[in-house]
Amino acid sequence: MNIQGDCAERETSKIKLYMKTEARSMFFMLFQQGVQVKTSVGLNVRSILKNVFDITDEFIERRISTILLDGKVVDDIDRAIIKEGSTLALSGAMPGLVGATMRTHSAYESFRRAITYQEKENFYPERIGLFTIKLFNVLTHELAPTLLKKGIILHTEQLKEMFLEKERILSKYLKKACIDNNEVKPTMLIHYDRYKGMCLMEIDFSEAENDS
Amino acid sequence: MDKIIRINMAAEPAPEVKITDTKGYEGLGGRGLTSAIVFKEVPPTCHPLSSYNKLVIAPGLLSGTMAAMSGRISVGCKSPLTGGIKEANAGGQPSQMLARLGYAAIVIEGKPKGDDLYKVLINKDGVKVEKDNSLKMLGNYETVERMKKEFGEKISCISIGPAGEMRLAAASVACTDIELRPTRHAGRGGVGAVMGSKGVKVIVIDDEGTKMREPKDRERFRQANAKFIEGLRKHPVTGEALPAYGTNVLTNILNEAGGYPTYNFKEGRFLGAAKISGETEAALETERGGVATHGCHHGCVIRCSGIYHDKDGRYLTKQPEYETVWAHGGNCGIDDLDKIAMLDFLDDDTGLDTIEMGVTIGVAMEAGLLKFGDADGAIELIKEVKKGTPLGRIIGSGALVTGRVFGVEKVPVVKGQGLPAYDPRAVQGIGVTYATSPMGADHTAGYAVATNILKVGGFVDPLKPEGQIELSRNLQIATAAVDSTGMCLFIAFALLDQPETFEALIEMINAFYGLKLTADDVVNLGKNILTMERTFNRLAGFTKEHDRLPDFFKREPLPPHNVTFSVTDEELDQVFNW
Repeated sequence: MNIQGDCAERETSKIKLYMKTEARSMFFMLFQQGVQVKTSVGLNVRSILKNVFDITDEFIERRISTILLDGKVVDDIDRAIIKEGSTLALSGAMPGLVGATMRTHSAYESFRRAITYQEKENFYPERIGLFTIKLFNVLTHELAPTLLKKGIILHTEQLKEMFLEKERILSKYLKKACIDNNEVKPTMLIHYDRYKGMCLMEIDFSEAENDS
Repeated sequence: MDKIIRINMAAEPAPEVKITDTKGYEGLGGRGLTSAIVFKEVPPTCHPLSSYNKLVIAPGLLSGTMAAMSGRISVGCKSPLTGGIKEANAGGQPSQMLARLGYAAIVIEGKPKGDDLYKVLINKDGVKVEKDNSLKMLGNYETVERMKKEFGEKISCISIGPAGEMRLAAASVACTDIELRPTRHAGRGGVGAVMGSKGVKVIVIDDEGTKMREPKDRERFRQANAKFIEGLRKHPVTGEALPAYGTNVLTNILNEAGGYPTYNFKEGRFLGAAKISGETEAALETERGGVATHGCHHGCVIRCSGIYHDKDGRYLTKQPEYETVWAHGGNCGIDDLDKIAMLDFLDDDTGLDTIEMGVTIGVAMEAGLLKFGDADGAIELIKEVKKGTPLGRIIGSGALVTGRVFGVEKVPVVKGQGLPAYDPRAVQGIGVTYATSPMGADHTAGYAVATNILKVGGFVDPLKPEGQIELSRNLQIATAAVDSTGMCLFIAFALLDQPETFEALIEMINAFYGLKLTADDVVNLGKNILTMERTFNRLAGFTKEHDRLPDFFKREPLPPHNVTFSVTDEELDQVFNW
């Protein structure tokens, strides 16, 4: 499924789930493949990281070791700009020579110069737009919950596939589900045939905790 | 650890064992010792499977001590795959046990006249070599089971599978892990074929009645070890990423960066990467009752391995690591972790290098022998190797031979050895190491060791265009030194970022041996090892023209970034100018 290729499509449905926190990890696979977010684009990587994830400069410095923008390693997060349709991938510390090479400001930067991100745009207008985020390894656990709460945009086929695969976990931890503000039975998430194209999914873990 | 076991397999009427001192090789361990013995005692032009070649098995300088992470064992010889000098190393238990018995190395010399197969028992009472033809063509798992029945469960084993017995150039030497399974392999370069040519099926090590090796300065050693462990635990790679996800945590990032060789190095991204990533693998292992965080030897504090269960919750293999998952996965277009785990098990049981097998099957797919993505076809090919069919013997001889037999132009090898899991067009610096390492294409030959802490060749400015040549040189020097200690190379990540952890390692060596080594001495050790290895290769007929990547890396752009390998031959020739 080409997530990036579907960027131009707009969401047709809004899905809201109320779940127990134990079920968080069932959604992590989605972040390896990439999910879209709608936010102000045309800003540098640092600004977008702070806006989207509500994180501090210290967190960026300490926890995000590797940043890839459109598949290239970003060293200067204040210069690299995220545009409509961009793909931003984030990783914690990685092993191996190549893992160290891929780090932001790596001492081995010369090893991967062919894939180091060079910003070509001097100006890109700020506007609301869609871009893709991928989260890997420890950062999935640390950053995905915030995004799930704020809402992610993904292809409904991708979502159906995940619901089918995780049906057992879903039935155990799902408290309530709404599609386009209408409450539906959990089974409807898998068999609902009205949503197609892209959809916005938000997950509220806290309410479920209160319920239980 | 001041004795060497020398087993002459050519002696009549039976193999002869001599225990010698380490004269001429004092202060050497691991790769330093294997390369020194091969350099001094093996004629560079000999046939690798002849009686003139020697198989050297050596624990590291700190193996058998309380030092954390000191369980690597080096296996050296003239390689039947590359035709040059070879050191391949593995984890598992044999290194610690052999060192505790006081042995710095086992040297297997000569070659028996007939086709009898032998087992070797090493314990506190000495060394015994016995004929045992009942072990013929057994897989590594069954071989170890038989040894357990005969010698009990407190042993460790170094063995070969059918691939080694058939003297195939991709054959590995297996070492048993904590659970006494043959899952840790000195994989690269066909070292198993050399063991097979000596007629040795298995070496059983029983360290009952021995104690930990005692340092000269016990308290200083204890403190340095504690500091070393603290450094490993606090570092985000050794304390967090590796324990949680293993080395396969690299899949997603390499794929995203477009440097994940896919379909026999045709593309830099694999659509199925997320299905076989370290994150997915760890989650699956946990879900099925396996283990996602596990050490391969006692004293490991990183614990980057794991135990992989099948769909029914039964043991299938150890956690396949990044190189294996890539070689059998993305490189062959296979995105099914269960099939990859089965391939890993078959490789281990047959005694094959997983990287070489994945690269070889990729070449076979390129040839049209089977389709990319055909996991069952790949499994059948490894089974052919185990059975010793003509096709299996071709596949078991590695990528270069397979490419020649099937007329394939695009064969990703350097010095005859298959390239590991990083495309050198995207990560060009590692291409420099692939091209110039005396070992052939080897991702561990130049690791992320703290070159600027070591100040190997002075401080390197990574922003200079020539930075990658200097860095590759320095990394290769530093790696050769670490490979001599018996330390797992994964300590490199903590050494890279934390000078105090690197100092703790040197302090441990000094406290153990009563030495005053400095960083300069470590550098000199690394340089000496590389000089010996390069000299051996030169005398074996290698020239600078062998220090090259296959031509297609310079000509075929790699999607998605459409980059080619742009380091010039002249630059490559500067790597070993020191």
